[in-house]
Amino acid sequence: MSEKDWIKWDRYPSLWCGGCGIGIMAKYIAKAFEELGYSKDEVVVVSGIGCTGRIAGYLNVDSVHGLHGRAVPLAEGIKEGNKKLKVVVISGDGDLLGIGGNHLLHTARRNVDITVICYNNEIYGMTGGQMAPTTRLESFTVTSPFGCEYNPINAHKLISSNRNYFYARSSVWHVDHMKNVVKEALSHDGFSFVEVIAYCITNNGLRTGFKDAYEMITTIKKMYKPSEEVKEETDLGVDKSD
Amino acid sequence: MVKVTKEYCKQCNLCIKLCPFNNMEMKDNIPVLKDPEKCKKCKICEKYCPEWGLEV
Amino acid sequence: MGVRSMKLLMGNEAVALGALKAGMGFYSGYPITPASEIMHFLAKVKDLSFVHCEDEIAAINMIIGASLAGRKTMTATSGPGFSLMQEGLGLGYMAEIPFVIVNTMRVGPSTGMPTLPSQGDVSFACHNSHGDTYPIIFYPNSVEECYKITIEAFNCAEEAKQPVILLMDAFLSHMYEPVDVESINVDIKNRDKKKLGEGLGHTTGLISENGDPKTKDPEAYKRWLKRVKEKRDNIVKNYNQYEYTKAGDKLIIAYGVTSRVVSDLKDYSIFRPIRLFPVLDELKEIAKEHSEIIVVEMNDGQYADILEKELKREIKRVPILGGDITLEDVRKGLD
Repeated sequence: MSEKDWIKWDRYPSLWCGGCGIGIMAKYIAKAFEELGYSKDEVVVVSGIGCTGRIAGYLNVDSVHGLHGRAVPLAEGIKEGNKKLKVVVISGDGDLLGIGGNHLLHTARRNVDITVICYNNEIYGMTGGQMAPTTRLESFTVTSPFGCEYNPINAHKLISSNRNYFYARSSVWHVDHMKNVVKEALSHDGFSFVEVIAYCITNNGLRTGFKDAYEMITTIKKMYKPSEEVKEETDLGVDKSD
Repeated sequence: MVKVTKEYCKQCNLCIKLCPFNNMEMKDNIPVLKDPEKCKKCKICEKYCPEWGLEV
Repeated sequence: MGVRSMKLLMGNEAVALGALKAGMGFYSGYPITPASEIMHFLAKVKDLSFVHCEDEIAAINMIIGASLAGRKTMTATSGPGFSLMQEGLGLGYMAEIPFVIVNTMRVGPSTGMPTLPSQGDVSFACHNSHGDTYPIIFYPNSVEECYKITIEAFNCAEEAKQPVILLMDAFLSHMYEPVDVESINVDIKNRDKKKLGEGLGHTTGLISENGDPKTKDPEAYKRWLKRVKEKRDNIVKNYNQYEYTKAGDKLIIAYGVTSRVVSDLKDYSIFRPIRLFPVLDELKEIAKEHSEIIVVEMNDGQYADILEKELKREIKRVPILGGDITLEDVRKGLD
């Protein structure tokens, strides 16, 4: 196997907009699988609905593109059905933290041995740029045209509120860091959650003053820094229970 | 040398704008090196191509 | 065999035992009257993987996941939970995933009368999930049938590679009857579908062919619809259980526990569908021999409406409402 074997090349080019970070994330998740020495038939990718949700169809493994917000319980069912499988949920912030929030709470609390990777672009991109649970205060979306009135959800605190937890935060700019925390999450015995700080250029960036993907990814580069401890919301790293 | 899979390129310009040496440009819809000698093989373009369609 | 192997079983326990007999390998559920005891029994089964999860949406999506991982799966609920499971049922139809949903009905809608029986979800069940779907529904009328028909439901789900609904009512769930479990032997259909980790490929809720989404291809949709419809119609031919006693030219149709009340009316023919949906061809034939057809059911004429459409003739309704049923109510309704 080589890292490229983890992609269904006959399905490329992907449906994601030019410059979208999901493709970058997909590439480094494939590299993580390869570097961990996984075989193709032991990995199952589950995704929900949204742009990131289409990733299950591009990864060259048995995969399930499930219902909006329900990838996590579906993945828990797969794991219960066959403990030998390495079950990885890859979906967006709207899917996992919005409609899927309640399931995430409980599957994490049950410490089910699956990994959930959340592409967080702070918007519902696929459906045209609506406000998401991760949208920041006062930012403009098609459903918060006068500025979002709410503070965003704090995935780190939600996940780390559990007795047993593994939380990692990385970004689509810090690709090697992202690959490494994904590998660590995949190797963690128990539930693991990786938040990938990312962007949406078509249905968020363009409307909020960004010229292109370059401007968005370099903004992430400036705002977020790898650090030993995940203290500030702009720290990248791993926080896990002992 | 930079090899690009033409069908995967969506002209997103990430590779061109991220090249630290400003050594890439778009030519009939795919990125090419302006001056192959100046390419330091830092592979930033390869790292950030969302379609994994570019190899140094 | 015989008296010694008789067991006094609650309907809900019979369903749980039937599921185990059918080879169920994973159960996920959420408490709801009158279905909870099914989960209580299964929670005590040592080598059964089991999750009491956070809500009915999680329950159905978990049994979908475990089914794709190669296990026979089931969840049991009542009206309110069944309402939350509709999207999951749709995924089962779209991606042709076998599993069993038990809906033991209580008086609805809404929270309604949680401990009182009804048959008020029949129409809803016959048209479950959004979109064009082709449900299969069974309905027992005794504790023994709760055991036997659960096994049939699993077999049918495996053959049809789609969700199958087992409807019941709170009477059946909570009543006790002696059942000689050993004497009931139904052959068990095995799973013949690849599972995750063995090259199952991409399973998706989108219209797709060989795991490749075809979201803008009307012909692909039509091919899918035609295939799943024909498959359902084909497979249910092996599942045409019913009971019929001929007496006179007026036909009463009743199902579930209502049929046991009605059985005392000796001067009517009585037809009891066990496979409630799709409507049995045998019922269509038998109906022709009768001048009048009456449906007695614990709702406001839901199966009557379905039969009126199928049989293309007028059908008299005797709705038994409010969660209680007596022979007098039925007699009053008949004349």
